[in-house]
Formats: sequence, structure tokens, C-alpha cells
Amino acid sequence: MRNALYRRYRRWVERRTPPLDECLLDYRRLYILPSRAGVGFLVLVAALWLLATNFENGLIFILCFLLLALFMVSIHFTHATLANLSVKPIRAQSVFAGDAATIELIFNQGKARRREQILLHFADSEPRMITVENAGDTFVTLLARTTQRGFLDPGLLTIESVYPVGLMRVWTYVRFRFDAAVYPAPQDDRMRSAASRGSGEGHFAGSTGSEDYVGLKTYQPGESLRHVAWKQYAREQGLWSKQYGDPVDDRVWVDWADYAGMETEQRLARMTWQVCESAAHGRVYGLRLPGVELLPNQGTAHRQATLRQLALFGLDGRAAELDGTAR
Amino acid sequence: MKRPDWQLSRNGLFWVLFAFAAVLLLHVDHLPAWIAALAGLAVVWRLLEYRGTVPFPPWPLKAVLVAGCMAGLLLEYRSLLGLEPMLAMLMAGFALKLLEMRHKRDAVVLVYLAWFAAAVDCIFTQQPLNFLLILLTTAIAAVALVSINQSKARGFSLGSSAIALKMLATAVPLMLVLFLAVPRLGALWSIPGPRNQAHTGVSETMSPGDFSRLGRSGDVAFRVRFEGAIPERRRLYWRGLVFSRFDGRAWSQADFFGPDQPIVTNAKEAEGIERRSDPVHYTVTMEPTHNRWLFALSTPATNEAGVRLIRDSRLVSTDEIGFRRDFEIRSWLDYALEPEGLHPHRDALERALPADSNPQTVQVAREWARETGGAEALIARLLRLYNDAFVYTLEPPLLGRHPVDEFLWQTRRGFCEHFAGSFAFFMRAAGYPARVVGGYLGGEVHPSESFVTVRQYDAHAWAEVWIAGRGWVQVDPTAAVAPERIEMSLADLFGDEDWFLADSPLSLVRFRNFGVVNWMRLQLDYLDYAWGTWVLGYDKRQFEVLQRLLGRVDPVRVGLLFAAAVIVTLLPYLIVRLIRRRRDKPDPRDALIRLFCAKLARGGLPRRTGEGILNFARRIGAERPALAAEALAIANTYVIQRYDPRAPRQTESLRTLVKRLQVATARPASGQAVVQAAIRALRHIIRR
Repeated sequence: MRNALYRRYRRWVERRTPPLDECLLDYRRLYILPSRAGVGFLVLVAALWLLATNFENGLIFILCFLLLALFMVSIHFTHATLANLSVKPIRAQSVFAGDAATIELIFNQGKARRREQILLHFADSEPRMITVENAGDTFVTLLARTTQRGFLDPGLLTIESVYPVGLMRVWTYVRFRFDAAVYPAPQDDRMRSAASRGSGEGHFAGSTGSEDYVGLKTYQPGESLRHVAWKQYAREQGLWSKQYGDPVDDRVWVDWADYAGMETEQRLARMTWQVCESAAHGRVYGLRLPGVELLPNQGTAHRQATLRQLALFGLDGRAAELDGTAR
Repeated sequence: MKRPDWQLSRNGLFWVLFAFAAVLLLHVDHLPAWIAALAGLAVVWRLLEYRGTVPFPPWPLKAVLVAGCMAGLLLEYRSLLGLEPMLAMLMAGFALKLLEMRHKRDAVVLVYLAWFAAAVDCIFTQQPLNFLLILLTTAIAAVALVSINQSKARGFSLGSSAIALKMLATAVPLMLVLFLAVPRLGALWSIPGPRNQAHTGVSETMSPGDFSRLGRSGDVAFRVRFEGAIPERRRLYWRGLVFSRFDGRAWSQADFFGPDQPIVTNAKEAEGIERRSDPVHYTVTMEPTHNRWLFALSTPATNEAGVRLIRDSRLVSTDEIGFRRDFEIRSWLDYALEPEGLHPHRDALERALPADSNPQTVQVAREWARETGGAEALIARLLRLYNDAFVYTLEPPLLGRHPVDEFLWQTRRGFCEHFAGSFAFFMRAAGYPARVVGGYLGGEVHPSESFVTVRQYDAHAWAEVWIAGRGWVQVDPTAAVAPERIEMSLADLFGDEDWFLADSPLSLVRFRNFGVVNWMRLQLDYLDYAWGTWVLGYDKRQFEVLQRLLGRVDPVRVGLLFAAAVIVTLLPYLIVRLIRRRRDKPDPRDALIRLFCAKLARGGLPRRTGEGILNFARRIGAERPALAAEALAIANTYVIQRYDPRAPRQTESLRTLVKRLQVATARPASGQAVVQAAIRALRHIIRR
């Protein structure tokens, strides 16, 4: 119940927090309220006040007011733990939906100043405790859980601290804009790959299906044992694997049109699987999406570009703004 | 979500143990020995747990310990209500909690308990030195709280104390204003004070030797500040007890609330007491006596809550005086007490003679009463006898079964209680109602501040005789034998003798003849007095002080005072923040890179989010080959300047490069674009 309320609250805040590239934690951004320990502390002060009043004891009044003053002073000390710290994401990893994305942040302060016990966490991820000490930049790596394809948006990052006395909790929510994409979670599409091979259109050719022997290649661990050139091995010429198939026939199109009748996300998930498969087998593949065509190619950059198109397919505004050149 | 730092750090553990030990030392006097031992053991056990020598106690052991402690406390105190059992329970709980303390949460609770226990110590004693120890303990607990909330799991470190002390120092001005201005409500309900405390000062009964024992102590009994001139010394008879009962050996008080001594229902209307002069106003600051009677000049009245006037012209508090406390009193020095006659029941009480007691005195008294006409003449004759044949000494010989007989007709050496007791007995034997009054005489007038310090050795006993038409007449037989006692203090009279202040060997009164020491003694005395007046008894003076400070006491002005305090507390902080913000300007190189990106954005090449500056420069090179060299140079210079700690700080080269860069605008500037550029430029200026 409480968790549900809290999640709703966070969503409400999230809607009102525009994503930023960089953020200075100044007094306009920081919230501060007594922590649970702080409320307990007020109960203690109240108990001391009762004690002092009932015993009409001036000394207990002194202690009581000293602690109350400490409570008030701690507002400023705790606020100073986060105040004037600037936060900026520098790098984020593109991952498949469901995986944790690594996000690197820089915390920057002008002058050396010890800020301990700064707690960072995204909505559902493991919190992380850091200390910022030196002048200049402090690098921090965070993991953010991802759920759906698109631009990486781990939601609100809570930055909070109760340092130095734990009576106050100062916190802020920031939301950063990331360029990294979250690719659709791949969905196994082996059935279809068999079917599409059978269509004989040459869109797709599995490595095992090719009949034409092309030559030998050094055996790589992990390759199918069926391809091992046993004859050569028997002659003690080393471990070779036989290569089949025509490179021209290996040009694969991962095509939106092949998945007609499925839901968009289903299509994209399967296409992602195909891209991954093709890349893993070193094939040359291209991508066709409505309005987008990436010519068949190979390599890490191509794979990333393809997956990125799949990740950002059909998403509004920002894709166009950021990737105007890619389209 | 579990915070990643729930576990208590080593430094935190040590400071909490330190705070607990400090609290334990404060209270070691008020705890049963076994609780103190248990607490000490808990500290050792927890240290061994930390070293891994012993395990954390399993729950059955903890349950047994808790049950054992409760049983022990019940056996010790019978009831768990009351201050001492509560304290003992608090400390026992504290010690047991210590054993299983592993979470930060637990440690925080223990720090709060430490603060509370330290505050409770203020109930037991209000001495300035002790309060310093309490403040020290409070500070240690504050350091413990900081160390709990720090991250590094270092060993015991003094580093945490710096922040805690800084915070406490910042808190002090605010605390002072809160102390000055937060209104005091007065006790909401009555709580039992500490029990089992030794009663000090003049005691409930008076037998020969009691008062001479008090002469051996130099402790302060109470202090008095007069409004206006201090009355003459010979009028400073501080009346506290009236002994109406005599059992042949000891004098004792009649019951306050029994049938003997009904309280005057209302302290303001004094039944049977005639007040004749204008009253003297003064404030008595009582040291804790754990008795109920106050000391005041006859005949007193007061408006203090919980203080009653009784028929024999003195003030009694409904509760024991367990704390140093101020009483505002006024006294009419010219008065008549029950001139109209005594209630028959009380008449009998004040004349009563125990059977078979001091027969010789009874016989002589009857003879003298027959020979001498009238009470006054009889008194004069008896006083003459004292004057002629008696010696005033603090070392009187011991007396046997008939003390009055032995004193009057054999030893003839005695202290005030011998004279007062024998006088009252003699007058009763002669047929007049008489009684002994106990209290203090005189006191030391502080030379520069107008207050009087009354010490234990000023304890005194005198007598009262009821004479028809005049009421109770005060007679001090000691004045007859040693008139100088009335004019001088005991210190001046007997200061050189061995027995004087025998129980206070370090008392500075001893050295009052050395100029510097005496000056110092008087200053300390004043400090102690000021402590009682301004700190302990501030609630009496709050209104007066606020009035002097604010001109008038109203909510607005008090609110303004609070606001002023908050501002004064924050001012240094705000100034520091302002200065720091100016110093915290963004790195000039970052600003230049921002300018570089802005130029390119205007040229239609916005930098992508998360795009590294070098990647950006490469992309520029790819998309606008004309800019490739310059962009790469800027990016490289920036990266080296900003991130290579060995690189010399040369902002200038970067600045020149960026300033020189010319980017052709992608589109001709439309009106909208110009406005947007202007807004961007403005925002840029504001951000700086």
C-alpha cells in the first residue's frame, strides 16, 4: 500500500520534472524535511521539555533548548551536503530492454569539501552510497534497470543525504536526458527463420543450410562440430572448419514486411533477434522498416545503428531531433 | 529498500560506547551497584563482540537478562514508579540494548537515551561543575551521532568531533534565546523527586550536640537577596523549625498537618498574626535540603505556589525541597504572634513537661516563679544566670539522663541548643508556654553584591515564650552568654579553633584572612549565587529580563527576538555561502566549451546529449570538413587542459581558439531565430 502510494507519487513528480542534460543542485532544487530519526529526536526534545517543566529545572531547559537548536542548525548543515553540487551524466550504455544499463555520472564541486553519505538511486534499482570530497569531478557509475525500448530513460534519480547528523533528509529528484537507446528485448524467431529460408527468396540463408563448399578456415571454438574438416585433422594438419555458402546469398534482409499481422512490439522483438543472430554469425544484413532502410552491411557500428533504429522506431519527436541525420 | 549502509561503523560503535560510559559515570551514584556493574560489563562485552571474541547474545540469554533485570529492580525498589527506579530501568535497558547493537538505527536510539539520561542527572544535582560534566556528556553523544552517520568505517577517530562541535557552537546563540524567551509553564503535574537523599541542614529533631555538628560544615544553606537595604544583623533570625514537643532529651516539631498545627488556610490572611511595620521583600535561594521547611524572617508571607504559612509563623513547602529553588518572600519584622491567646489544645502542648524529667530544674523553676513576679522578670533573672556562670563553646561535654539538669547545674558549657533547650524547659517548668525555634542566624553579606550567604555553621537555636497580652516573645539565651555571637559570625568567633569547619577541610572560609584568597572566595560565592539566580531560578526572572530587553513583553516582540536569533545564527553561514558561491563559479574552460557548442548549434550542428567532446569534434569534421581542424584542436586542448592534471593551466589558448572559430550559420537568421538566439544569450548570461 505504502509502496504503491510512493510509486504513484514518484510518477507524479516524474511527470513534472523535465529531463535535463546537467543539473546544479541549488536551493531551488533541494527539498529538506526531518528524517525519521529527526522526528524521534523531536520526541526526545519534547520529553526533555516535559521533564524540565515538571521539575522546574533550568538546567534541563538548557539541554532541551540546546538540542532543539542543534536540530534547527542541522537543517543548514544537512542542506550543505548537497547544495551547489552539480551532476551531469557523461556516458550511458545501450542495452536490451530488461538489462541493467551502466550510467556514468560526474559530480562536480568548485572547492574541496567533504560530502559523505550521498545516496543515489533510480526508482527500482539498488541504491548506491557515495562520498564527494575533492574539488572538481567525481566519477560515479550507476546501474539502471530498463523495461521498454526507446531512449534510455531510467526515470527519476533520487539524490539524498542525511549527513552529518541524520536528523534531516535533504533530497532532490533529477531526470536526465540520455542519448543511449534501449533495444527491444529479442524474442526467439527460429521458426520463422526456417520458414523464410524455405521460401527460396534469398532473403535469408542459414549457415547450416548452404550446400556449396567454399573453403577452409581456422576452427573457432564454438563452431559446429559438423563443419570440422576431419580429413585435414586426421592428417594432423590442424583443426579447420569447412565454410559453406555463397556470400551473395548471405545478404539478409530483416524486413518489417515479413512480420505482417503481428503487433508492432512483437515484430520489433523478433527483428531484433534476427539482427542479433545475423550479427553473431557474421552475416551481412540490412534492415527495412517503414520509412527506414539500412543497406546490408557488417560490423559493430552497423549492428548498433540497426538496433538503434529498432529501438527508436515509431517514437515521437526526440528521435527526429536527435537522429535527423540518420534517417 | 534496504539502505546500503545500515551497519554501524567502528567509529560509530566506539563513540556510542564512549557516550554510554560517560552517562554511566554521571549516574554511578544514583544506581544500584549491580546495575552499574551490569552496564560496565555490557561495555566490555560489546567490545569483545566487536573483536569477535564472544558472540552476540542469543535471544534466550537476552530474555533471561531482561527478566533478571526486572526482577532485580522490583526487589531493589519494590515499585518501578519513581525517579530512581525509572533511571535504573533506563540504564539497564541501555546496557542490554548495547549488547545487540548492530544497526545504525539502534545506535541512534542509544544516543537519544544517553541525552535523556544525562538530562535526568540535572535533577539530582545542580552544581555548576557537575553541569559542565553533563554538557561534556551531551557533546560526546552529539559526536557519537555524527560518527554514526559518517561513512568511513575507520577505527576510533576524533575527526567526527570537529563537525559535532561546530554544530553545537552554532547552536549556542539560538539556545540562549530559546532559554531566555520560551515561556515557562510551571509544573504540569507533580512528579516524585529523587528519594533516598540525605537530608541536610537543620534536622527535624533537636537534641544536644545537633547544632554543634552543623558548625563543622561550611556548606551553603541558602542565599538571600534583599530588595533595598539589608536589615541589621541582629534581626536576621532565619526561622525554619519550631520545636514544641520535648521528651526529656530531644525537642521535636509538632505535626504540620496534624491536629496540633493547623495550617493557616490562606497564606495571605494570617490568622492570629498581627503585622505592624512595612514588609521587607527578599528572595531566598534554598539549596536542596530534602526537607519541607523554608527559612524566613518572622513573620513571613509569600505567594509562591506550593508554600503554606503555618500558625507558628513560618513557611512550609508541600513538597520536599529537592532542587535549588528561589522563593520570593516578604516579612514584617514588627509583629505580634497570637497575642489573643492560644487554642486550649495548643496551650497544653506548649506547656507540656515530660514526667520525671530533669527534677532539679523543675523544682528551681517553680521556686523562682514564686519569688519573681511576672514573666519578664523571670526571663531576666535566668538570662543573668547564663551571663554570669556559663561558657559558650562548640565542644560541650556530653550530657546524661537529665540533660537540662546536668547542663544548668553542673557542666554549664554549651552551644546554642543547650541554652535554647534549657531556657524553654525552664520556662515551661515555671508555668509559661515556651518552645525552641531552630534556624540560622545572620549570614555573610557579600561586600559588592547585595546578597547574604547563610552557611551551615550559621545554624542557630533560640527560644520563644508566650506572655499574656504580648503573644510569643523571642528570647535568645545565647545572646546573654555570648553577645558577640549575635553580632559576629561563628567564623569570626571561633575561626581559629580546630573543630570549626572540621568537616570541610578545604573550605575557603578557612582562609578568609588572606586577602587574595578571600577575594577569590567571594567571587566564587558570587558566581554560585548568580548560577542559582540566573540559570536555575531563571523562570522567576524571565518576565523581568524580557521586559528590560524588549521594553514590553508581547507576542510580536518575542517573535521578533526569535527571528533576530535565527538571523544572527544564520548570518555567518549565509555570508560564507555567498562568498563560496562566488568562488564556486563554473570552470572557465567549461564555459568556453559551452560557448563553442553554442556557436556550432547556431550553425546547425547541435552537440548530442552524452556525446563526448572528442566524438563531437570528429562528427563535426565528418559533416563540415572545413571546421575539422579547428574543432579537433579545441576539443584536444580542452580535454588536456581539463583532465590532465600535469597540464599547465592555460585558459587563454582555449579562449583564443574558441573566439576565433567562425561557424557559418546554416540558415539565414529569421526573426524567430534571432529572438531565440537572444533568449539563449540572455540565459547564458544569467547562468554565469
